Amino acid sequence: MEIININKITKHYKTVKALDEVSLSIHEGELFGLLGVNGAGKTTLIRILSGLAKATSGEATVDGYSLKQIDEIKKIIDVSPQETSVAMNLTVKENLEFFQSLYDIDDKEYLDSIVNSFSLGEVLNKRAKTLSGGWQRRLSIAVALISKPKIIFLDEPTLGLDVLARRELWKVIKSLKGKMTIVLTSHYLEEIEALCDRVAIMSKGHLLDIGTVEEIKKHANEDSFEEAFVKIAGGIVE
Amino acid sequence: MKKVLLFAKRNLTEMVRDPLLYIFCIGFPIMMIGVFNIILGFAPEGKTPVFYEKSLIPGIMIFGFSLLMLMSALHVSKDRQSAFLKRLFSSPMKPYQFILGYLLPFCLIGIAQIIIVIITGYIFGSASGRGFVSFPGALLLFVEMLPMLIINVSLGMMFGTILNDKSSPAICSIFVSASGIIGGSWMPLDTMGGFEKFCGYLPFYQAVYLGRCVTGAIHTPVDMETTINPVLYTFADRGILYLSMYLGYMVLCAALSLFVFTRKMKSDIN
Repeated sequence: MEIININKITKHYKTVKALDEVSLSIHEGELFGLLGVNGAGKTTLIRILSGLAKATSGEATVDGYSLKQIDEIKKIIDVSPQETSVAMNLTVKENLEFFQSLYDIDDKEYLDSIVNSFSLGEVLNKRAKTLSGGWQRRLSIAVALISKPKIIFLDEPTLGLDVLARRELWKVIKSLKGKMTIVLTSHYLEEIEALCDRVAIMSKGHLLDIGTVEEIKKHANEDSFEEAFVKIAGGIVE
Repeated sequence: MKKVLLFAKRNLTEMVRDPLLYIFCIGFPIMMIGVFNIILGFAPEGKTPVFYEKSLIPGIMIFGFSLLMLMSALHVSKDRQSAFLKRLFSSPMKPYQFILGYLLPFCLIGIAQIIIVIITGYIFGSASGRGFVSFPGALLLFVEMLPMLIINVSLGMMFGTILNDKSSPAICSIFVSASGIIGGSWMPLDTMGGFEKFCGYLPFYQAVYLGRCVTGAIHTPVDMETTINPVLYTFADRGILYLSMYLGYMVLCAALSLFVFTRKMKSDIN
């Protein structure tokens, strides 16, 4: 069943066309990747779907709600932006409680389960600003989950993290698979390959290809995903 | 209202955990009272009543508010830059909940500032034997300062909304200086003729002047006559005019701040 339907979404920023008639569908419960280099339009698409930007034209539905019903959409989604966006002077626990209350959720058991799945127990009473970049990003994603969203948007979740922190975060994201619909943007090929059920390749606001990693390799007639991506997104053949 | 209180609690908690708040908003004003008391010890008797608690405390209050403006601007601009606000914009919070959630804790800190400065005024006034103000007078001074508090926190939120955490302190520092100079906090504007008249059109001096009417402060003596028979700041003199303008500035600044915040929020979602 499709939970997100995007139909010819276009977004203009003054002189730049960030999205050009992008159409795609995302299935309920899948981990969907938006892959592209910087400026591909991945973040813009997420911003539009989460009510942080308005489409210039086109339509989309999120769990049956049109973008005009953004207040309803906001109740069932959550976003973890590229930047670590938590309250730095609050403790890990206070951050989680703040966001849970913001969505009118009073479920201590669920909060504890998030703390356990993200292994946040050891830093629960530490202020966010004292945590390392990896832990802050982990908290940022945990905060996005605390509202029990049906759909979560993870915008470049591992950007700027070292290899070990990235691998740790992959484990966490993998553990969420099947529990909710996850839309993840990244420009790391190995991340998309390791995590996503299906992938959309974007470049300069255009949707170039969509499918599983294997399907995309087949479309590009390449054995490696990297070669397939380069061929599709860069237009470099041979 | 629940979301307003929740967001206000978060803002207050974050602010009170920032040591800069105590240094700027509490420590600095108290230190200034101490410094002017020391200076007063070297000044000729009766010649510098602008440093007496009755005159100085209203000025120190608006000086403290200007520092609160700076802290408020910093708080909002950091929220914007860290994408914390962006995340909240995608939550079910409404624009008015953001605005009230910011203004409430800023005002609470300002109220704490007023109380602390009044208490400090009593301590220094008693220690020096110059006295300060009666308890009902202190309550009236508290009320009289509220519009200036609203002006400052509104502008703080506005600057935090449109500027980043580097430029907002720079702009706010203009107001910090303005409160001391054109607010007449520690400048004897009443001896400066036309310049005092000019300052009277701005809310800084209006707040200080009205505060001095409440505390029963005396004007700076300009000759032997006024040294022997001190002239009190009186409401009858220009109180109505100043009060009208003062309240007008409060409404204007609050409206401007709300307009800018909601407009910026909308433009961020475009």
